[in-house]
Amino acid sequence: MTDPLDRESFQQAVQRAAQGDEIAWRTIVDAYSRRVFGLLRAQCGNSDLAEEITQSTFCTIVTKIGSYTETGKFESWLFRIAMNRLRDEMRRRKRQARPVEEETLSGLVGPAAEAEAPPSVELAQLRRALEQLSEADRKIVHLRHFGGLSFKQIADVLDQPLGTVLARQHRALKKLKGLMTPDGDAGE
Amino acid sequence: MTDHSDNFDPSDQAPNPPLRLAGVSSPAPRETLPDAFEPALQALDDRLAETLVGGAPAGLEDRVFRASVGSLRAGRPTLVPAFLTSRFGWSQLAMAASLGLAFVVAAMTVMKAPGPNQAIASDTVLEIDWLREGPQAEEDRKIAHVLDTGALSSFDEVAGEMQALIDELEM
Repeated sequence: MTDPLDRESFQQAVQRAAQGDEIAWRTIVDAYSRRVFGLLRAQCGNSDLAEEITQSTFCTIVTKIGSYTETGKFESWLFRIAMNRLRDEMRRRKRQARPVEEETLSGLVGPAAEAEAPPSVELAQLRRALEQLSEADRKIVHLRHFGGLSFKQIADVLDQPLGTVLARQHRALKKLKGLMTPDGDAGE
Repeated sequence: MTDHSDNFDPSDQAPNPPLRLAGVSSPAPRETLPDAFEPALQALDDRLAETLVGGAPAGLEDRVFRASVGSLRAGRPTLVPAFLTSRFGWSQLAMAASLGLAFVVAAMTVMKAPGPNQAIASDTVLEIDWLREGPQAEEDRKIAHVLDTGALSSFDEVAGEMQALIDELEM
């Protein structure tokens, strides 16, 4: 989600990286690697695999950055490559994606999350509720909260209409709300 | 994935000032939900944002950088011309070339081979030519017969025969 003021700096970084500038490439890695990793770990539930695919994703990006034309879709491009890599790897390993790890939900890293850590009962409820979402709906939640993407960017990554993405997000939240409310239904 | 690159120290080799990408570092600011989402759902979304905190192992950026910078050092990424990356790509170029080749071959074929009308016209001219009658046609036939049969073996005989025919015509 780059705002117009950042776009110029970002373009500079991409141009310099395309010319072999390591400082510029380092800037791009610093800006995005954590978000890519967070999304991948949420999706596959495995930190080692997530890091491996994060590295693979950036290796791919660096070889193709010379042909990238800045149209404001760098993040969509980056996260799409990451998701495709993960999908291919999961197929290769013939393994089903697991839901979010316990450590991810426990707010280990973010100071704000540590300060305002929700009760463990709620965490457990949320974990169970997320597990009950369809894979497609859960993917949108992950892209939004771990990838930090806008709905338009999520639509680009998933190659779906924006309206479909918003409808899925609405359905996912409604279902989560139903699952987390003691007497609530599943929100359908 | 292992990396074998040397440690990277940006201060060692900085021909350009470091870039700052404010607003794209993690975590990115979250887009607010549209108004169509009920307040209860927006509150739940806020709760998710607080709870779903994506952490990362220490040194992740260093490892990602070292793993990928090798490609940057190995050779500058190839700058591909824009038209090759646009929608008008190799497949369209190949199709256009095929169509052009087919057109050229067809044009050459049409130009080289005599059409059926041309053959008929030539035969017709020959037949009409044989229809000529009169003294000239009669002499033509005689000359052709003399030449075809090989009855004359020397130039003098040919000249004499021709002279006789001319005299015949003049009479």
